[in-house]
Amino acid sequence: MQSIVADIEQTLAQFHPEAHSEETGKVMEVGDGVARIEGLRNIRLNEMIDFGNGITGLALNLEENSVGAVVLSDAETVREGQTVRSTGRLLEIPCGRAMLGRVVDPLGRPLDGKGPIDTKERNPVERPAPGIIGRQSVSAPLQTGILAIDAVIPIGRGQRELIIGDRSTGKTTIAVDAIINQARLNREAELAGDTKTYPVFSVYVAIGQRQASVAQVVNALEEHGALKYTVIVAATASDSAAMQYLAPFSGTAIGEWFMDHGMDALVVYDDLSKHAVAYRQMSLVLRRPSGREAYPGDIFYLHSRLLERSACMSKAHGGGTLTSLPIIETQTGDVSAYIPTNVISITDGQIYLESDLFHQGIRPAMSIGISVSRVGSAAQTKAMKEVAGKVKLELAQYYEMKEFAQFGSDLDAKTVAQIEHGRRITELFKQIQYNPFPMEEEVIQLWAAQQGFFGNTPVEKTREVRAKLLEFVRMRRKDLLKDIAQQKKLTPEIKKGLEEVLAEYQNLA
Amino acid sequence: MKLTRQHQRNARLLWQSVSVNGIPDANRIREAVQTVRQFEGRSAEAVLRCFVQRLEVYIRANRIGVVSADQLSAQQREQLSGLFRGTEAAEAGINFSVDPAVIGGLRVEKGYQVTDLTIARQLEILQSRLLEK
Repeated sequence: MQSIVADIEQTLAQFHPEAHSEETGKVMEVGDGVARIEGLRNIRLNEMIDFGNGITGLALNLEENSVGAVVLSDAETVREGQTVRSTGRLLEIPCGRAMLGRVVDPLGRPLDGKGPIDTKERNPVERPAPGIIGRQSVSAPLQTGILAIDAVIPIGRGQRELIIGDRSTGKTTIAVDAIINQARLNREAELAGDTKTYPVFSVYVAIGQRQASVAQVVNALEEHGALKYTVIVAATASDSAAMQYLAPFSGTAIGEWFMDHGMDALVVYDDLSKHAVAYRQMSLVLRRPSGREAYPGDIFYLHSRLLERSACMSKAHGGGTLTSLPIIETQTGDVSAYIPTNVISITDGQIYLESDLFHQGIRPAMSIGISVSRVGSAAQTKAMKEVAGKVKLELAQYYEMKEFAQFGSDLDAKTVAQIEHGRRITELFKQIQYNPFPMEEEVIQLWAAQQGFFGNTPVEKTREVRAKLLEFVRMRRKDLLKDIAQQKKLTPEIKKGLEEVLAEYQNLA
Repeated sequence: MKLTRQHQRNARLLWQSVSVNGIPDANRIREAVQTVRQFEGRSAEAVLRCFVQRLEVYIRANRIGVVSADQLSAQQREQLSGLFRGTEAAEAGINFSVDPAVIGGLRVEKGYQVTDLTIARQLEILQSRLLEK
C-alpha cells in the first residue's frame, strides 16, 4: 500500500502540465471490428490508435481522406463520432524471460490468471527481417526427438520447416513433441551444469483454434515439464480476426527477443491456413481489393515477411537463432492449393503428413517421398549422418518394391530382403506421442537396423525389441550413450562398443 | 447512389481545378459546380456528391474551435481570435463552445490538430502514467 502511495507521489512530483499538440480523428463508421476514421493526417502504417478507455486500434489502411483501422479489443464500445488519438507508437508486445511459462494474447496480456508479467522489455510486433550481412548458414541441429524427422528430414536452428497435412494427421503433435524435446534438452543441460549447450526456448502460437485444443496443448506441455521453457500466444476462434492476424507476428516478436540476446528460439505457428483466412476476413471488411479465392493481393507477402524473420545470426551479430515450424492444413491432401503452395515456396522444406499413413497406424504419418528439408542436412550431426545417410534411399526403394510386389509373388531374394528391411525401418519410425528420443538413442536404433540387428525380429515385434534394446543400453552401457551425445560422431571405439552391446543383448535374448 | 472509383477520380480532378496553392477558391468552386450541373445524368450528380464530400472534409479539417469549461468573456474571445487573424481558417469564424467535462483550461482545435490544456486531459495523462507503472 505504501509503495502505491509512494508511486503516486513520485508521479505527481515529476508531472508538469505542458501544452502539446496532438493529432486526433473522428470515427465516421464502425462495424465488424473495423473503424473508418477521418483526420489523423500524419498517422503511419501499423501505428497504434488510442480510442480511449484503454481500447487500442491499429491503422492498416491509409486513404486520401480517411484511415481504416482494426479495433483490437471491445469494438462494441466504439461509437460513431468518437474522438481518437494517434499515439506515435507502433504496436509493441512485452518480451523477455519473464514471458516463459505464460499464456498470453497477441497484445501480451496474460490469459492464464497467473497475474501481471513482470518485464520492461518490449519488441515491435512488425519489424523488418534481419539483413543478409547479419545472417549465416544453418549449422546447428534442432533435435525434434522424432526419429523419422531427425534421420530423414533434419531441421537446423534458424530453418523454416513447414508441417503440412490434412486435419487430424498429427501436425500439432509433431510441433508439441519438438517443443517437449527442447525442454528435455534444456533441463538435462541445466542439471548437468552444462554451459556449452545453447538452450532452445519455444513459442507456440495458436491461431483460430478451439479454446479446448489450446488448453490441451498447455496441459501436455505442463505435464512434460516443457511449459516453463515455452510462451504460448493464443488467439482462439472466439477472438476477432484482427487478433488472429496479429498472433503470429506477436509470437515472432517474442521469439526475436531470445534471438537478439544470442539465444535460440523455436516458434510454432498453428496454423497459417487459419491466419490467411483471418487476414482475408479483415481485408474484405477493410474493402481491400480481393484476388484469387478472395484473398487480398498481399497474402504472399504477409507470410513471407513473417517467416523471413526466422534467421540464424552470425557470431558477430550475437549468434542467436529463430527457427520456425509453420503448420498448414490442407483439404483432402491438396498441396497445390493457393496458401499451401505459397508457404511451401517460402519455407526451407516441408514435412508432409498423409491421412492414409495415419490410418494405417504409421505415426508420425510422414510421407518420405514428398517431405524434404533443404538446409537441415548441413546441420545434422556426423553420427546421425553416418547412420541415416542411406535410410531415405532405402525407404524410397522399399516403397517402389512394395508397389511392384503387389503384382506378383515370385520375388528374388534381394528384393525380398529390401522389402523386409524397409518394413522394419518403417516400424522403427513409428513413435508414440510426447515421447521424443534423445539423439544418441536415435543413432543406436538406426545403427542397429543398418547392422541387420532387427533382421530376425518379426516386423510387428520391432518396436518392442527396440524398447528392450534401448533399456538394455541405458542400464549396461550408459557410457556409450554419453560418448555419442558428447562426441556427436561414431568413432571406432564407439562402434566397437555398440557391436559389443548388441552381441551381449543377443546372447541374453 | 453508388459512387464509383471513376466518380471519385473525376471529383479529385475537379477539386484540383478549384484549388489555388492547395487552398480551394470560393469563386472557382461556384463556377465549377455551375459547369457540372449543366451536364444532366447520374454521373454528373455522383461527381458533384463526391466533390461536396471532399469540401465537407476540407471544412471539418480546417475549422477552428475553442472549448472551455465556462463561457468566455468578449475580451477573452477577442484575444483568442487575434491569434488566428489573417489565417484562411479564421475567415470562417471561430466556434466557441462550453463543455463542463473539461473542468478547466482550454482546448483549441484546428481541424483535427488539437492543443489540449484542459484539466481533464492533464488528469488523463497523469492516469495513464500511473497505470504504466
